[in-house]
Formats: sequence, C-alpha cells, structure tokens
Amino acid sequence: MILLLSTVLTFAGLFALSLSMDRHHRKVFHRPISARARVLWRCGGWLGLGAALVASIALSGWAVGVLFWLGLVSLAGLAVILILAFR
Amino acid sequence: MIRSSSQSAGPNDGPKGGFRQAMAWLHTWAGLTLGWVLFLMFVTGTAGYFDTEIDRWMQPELPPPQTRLEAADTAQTLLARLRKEAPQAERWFLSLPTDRNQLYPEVFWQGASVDAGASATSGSLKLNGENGRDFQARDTGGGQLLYQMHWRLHYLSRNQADVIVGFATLFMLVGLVSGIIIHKKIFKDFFTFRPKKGQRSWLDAHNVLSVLGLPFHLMITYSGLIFMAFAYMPLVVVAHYGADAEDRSQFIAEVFDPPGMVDPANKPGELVSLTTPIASTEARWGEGRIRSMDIRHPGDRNARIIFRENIDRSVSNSARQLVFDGITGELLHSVAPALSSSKNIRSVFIGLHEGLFAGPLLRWLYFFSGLLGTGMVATGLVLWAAKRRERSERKGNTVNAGLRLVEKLNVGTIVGLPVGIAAYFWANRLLPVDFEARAAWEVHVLFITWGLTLLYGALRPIRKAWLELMLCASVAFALLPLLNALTADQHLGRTLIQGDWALAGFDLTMFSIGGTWAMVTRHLMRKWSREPADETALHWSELSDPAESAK
Repeated sequence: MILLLSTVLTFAGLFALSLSMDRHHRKVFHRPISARARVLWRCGGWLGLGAALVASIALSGWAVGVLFWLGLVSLAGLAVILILAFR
Repeated sequence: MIRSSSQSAGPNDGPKGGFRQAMAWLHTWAGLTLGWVLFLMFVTGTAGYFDTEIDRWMQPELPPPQTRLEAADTAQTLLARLRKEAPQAERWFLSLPTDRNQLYPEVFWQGASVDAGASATSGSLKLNGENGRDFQARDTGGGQLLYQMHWRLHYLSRNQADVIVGFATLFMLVGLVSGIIIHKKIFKDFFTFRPKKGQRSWLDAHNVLSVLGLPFHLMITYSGLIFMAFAYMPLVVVAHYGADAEDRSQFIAEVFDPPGMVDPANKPGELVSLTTPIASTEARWGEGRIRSMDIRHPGDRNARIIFRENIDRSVSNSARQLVFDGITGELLHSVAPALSSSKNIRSVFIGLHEGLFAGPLLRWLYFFSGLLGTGMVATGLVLWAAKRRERSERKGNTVNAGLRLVEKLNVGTIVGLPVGIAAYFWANRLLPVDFEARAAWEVHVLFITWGLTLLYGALRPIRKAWLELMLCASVAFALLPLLNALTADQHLGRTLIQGDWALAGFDLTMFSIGGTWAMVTRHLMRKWSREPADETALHWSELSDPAESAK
C-alpha cells in the first residue's frame, strides 16, 4: 500500500515539476505559464517527491528507502517524459 | 587533449567554451572507442541482476528452491559430502540456501589431497540439500556466466579482462563527468524528449537516459572501480606487504579474514559436530540467518569455523561473523560487520553494486536502471553516427569509411549482442542434454551468433541491416517462452498457476523484450518507408539549423 502510494507520489511530483516549466506547460495547457502557477506546480512537485521519499524510508528504512526512491524517480521520470513526448 | 581543443576552439571562444569543447571532444571519443565494450558490460551486468533466476530457467530439471531447509541437518549432509569429496583440505566452505541469492546448498573446498582420495584439489558443487547428492541437471553456464561476462569478458584471461574492463570503467566515469559538464541544461531539459527530429532526438534520448539514471550510473561506475581497486592499484599493497604471491595472500587474509585466524598445528584433531555451534549462532541471529560456514584446516587441531550471517538486511556486503574453535566448539570471537571505516565504505559500495540485498521490487529497479545505462551507451553510439551522417549528407559528401565502420559495428553490437544472448538461451534448450561440452558450446553459440550479426550488418545496406536484425531479435526473444514450453515442464501454463514468479518472470520478460524489439522494428519500418534514403539528407539538414531545433 505504502509502496503504491510512494510510486504514485513520485510520478505525480515529477509530473507537477514538468508542468512548472514553460515548455511542457504550454504543451499541456496550450498557454504560457503564469508566475503564480509556476510556484504552485513547483512546490506541489517537490512536496510530492518529498512525501514519496518519506514513504519509501518509512517502508524500507534509510538506506534501502533512499535507493528505492531514486529508482522510482528514474522510472517515473521516464514515464513522464514519454507521456509528454507522445501524448 | 586540452591542447588539441584550444587549437580548434578559435580566438573568439572564451576559456569556458574552450574547456567545454575539450570536454566534448573527450566525451565523444572516449565514448566511441569504449562504447561497444561498455555496451557489453551494461547488457550482461544488467542481466546479472537476475542471475539465479536465469540459472533456474537454464536448468529446468532442478527441483523448487530449497531455501527453507533446516540449517543443522543441511550442514551435516554437506559435511558428509565434503569428507568424501575433499579429504585433508585446507578449507571447506558450506553455503546454506537462504534466499534468491543462494537457492540450493553449495560447497567448495581448497587445498584437498588427491592422494588421500579427493576428487580434485579444489572444486565446488551444488548439492541437493535433501539427500546430499548431485542434481541431475543439464550442464550450463547459466545466468552466472552472463553476470561474470560483464567483468571477465569470457574468453580473456583475468589479467587481460582486468585491463580492458578497468580502462573502460575509468573512461565511463570520465564520460559521466565530462557529460555533466557539457550538458548545459540538465534541469531545464530534464523532461525534454523531442521525437522525430533526427539527430536532435538522439541527443535528447541520450541526455534523458543519462540524466534519469545518473545516480545509478555514477554509483555503478565508481563502485566498479572500487571493486577492482586491488587489481588496478597493486603497488599500494606491494609497498606495504611485498610483491610475492604469498605477501599478497597475507594482505587479503588481513583485510578479509576475521581476527583470530591461526596457522594449522599439523596435528590431527576431530572436527566438532556443527550442531552446537549452529544452535548457538541461530540463538544469536535467529533461525535461517546463517549464510555460510567457512571451516579452516578441518581435521587439524587448530581448526576454526567462521559463521557468516545473511546480508539481506543491509546495503553493505559484509556481514556479522562468529568464529568457533573447530575442536572444542567454543565461541572465540564475535565480529561486527564493519571493522574499519574504510573497509565499511568499500563494503557499502560493493553492496550497492551487487544489489544482493535487494528484494524483488528494488531488484527490478536495479534491472531497469541497468537498462537505462545500456540505453545511454547505445544512444551515445548511434548519436555519434547520426551526427556525422547528417553532416556529410548536408555537405553532399559521400559517407566516409570511418562512419560506415561505426554504423556497422553499432548495428552488429546494439542488436547483434542481444540476438547472441537470445541464441545462448536457445542453445541451452537445443544442444543435446548429454553433450559433453554443452556448457562451453552455449557460450560459443552466443559469440558465433554475435559474430554472424556483425558480418550480416557489414554486408547489408545499413537500414536493411537494422530492420532485419531487429526482426530477428524480436522473434528470437518472443519465442523463448514457447521453446521453454516445448522443451521443459516448467512453462508459463504451470509457473503462473504455481505462482513461481522467478520462472514465469523469465518467460514474460523475454516475451516483452521480443515485443519491444518488434515495436521498434515496426516504427522504423514505417518511418523509413515514408522517407526513402536519399530524402534523409534534406530532412536532417532542416533540423540541423539551431533555430529550428531549439523550437
């Protein structure tokens, strides 16, 4: 359960971070990003990644938790990139 | 290298541009020259994260894993076998099956006396823990061989492989660092992949695969160097211990043995029954925690027994140890996993590299990270060629011989090596089970197939070579589950129902790899049929305009 949560949070966090960038924001919403939206997406993104890290550590301890989170970031990052490129 | 770049940098480039350019030069050429070796290392190393799972698939005669055997009984069975197989040995080593890292009991021995009836001076055996007999299974190199290949390069001697692998690993690290320096927009381009833009897409793909997996790439490369530090920096040891083989083994013993090891007394002594030491060890560590028992000088009055704990609970690959007197059974030392901070750092890096502690999910993430590394090397190699082909076609030049060579080596390695590995699995099932040299021939088939794909890639027009070899890879991988079903009992119909995810996972993964090759083949077939070869020059030259590619 925590595992699923951690995966979803990592993915959501990275997706939010990508939307805080003008290039990807334009592609998804078809308009330039406002300064406020940028801050919101960015904060949301980092919050999601942070929460995912905490969840991973809670699940598997410090050492393995951090590794697991790094692996998730790679995996979810690739998913975000492919979605943005081919959606 | 700096000098050569400052010649080409021109007067208008500032020192920063000059430095970046030097790094770009280094990155390009180190990457190209070592790329194919690195590709082999990444592919086989990545497969190695599932070594024991592949082992099982390649020996379908084996019974289910014996990881729930009782320690004392198993030890007794193994010991009886060692007494028969390796009398008067200097060392007996008993591995108990604990988890996916060790599925069956195993013994190895060193320095046994053939005169006293030993089957060999040193050797190792995987045994059936229930009766102490050999398994009746086909001979194979298994997944271990693929895993070993990533640093032993199979046909080479240890020294030759050490030199090549060391050089490649060092320049992998150079490639990573120089890559970070020349990639100006790591964060800005973090999520950027622009498909259908020729060379630009290859650069994006190379960047994305490198940056996403960067923590893994840095870790695996640096820890790879640490792994081999004793081989790469032998003079440090020589300076303190001396240059002889004996000096070296003294150093190894001091680093890796627990304290309190003694020389043999050369007086006979009866080895204590292992039951009591096992009981007291399990009382300390818990049941099923013993990974191995390492008996030094069995049958000597100074016999010592070292118990090592399983290492599934920490990243570090060094475990707690207990040292018992081999005659009285008295506990002599209790040894913590970390004896010094420098040794502990080494153990953590090696643990990270091997990932033996990783459970199924983390193991899949390791595998996936390995694939990112494989993709990083492959896209780098393809990018080198795509860039130069575009340039020469833009200028209307003919493609030069060097570029042709690289393109041919690329297709013959990036597709050819995977086809070779698929052939290795096919050989495992198609070579006769009782064929004497079958294990050796499985690997020969791998390399012969790879050689043939290189030849095929060299003789065919380049696009046809890619498509046809990828089609070959699709079929070779996707049909492996079928081959398994036709040649063994443990096919998907059974393994899925039994929930045997190691074996089912192998079949499903092979099918997915085949499917992925097929998708890429179809994609390229459509793309290339829309744009015949002579139009690509136009297509690529449009994109090489920086203003265009920045969009």
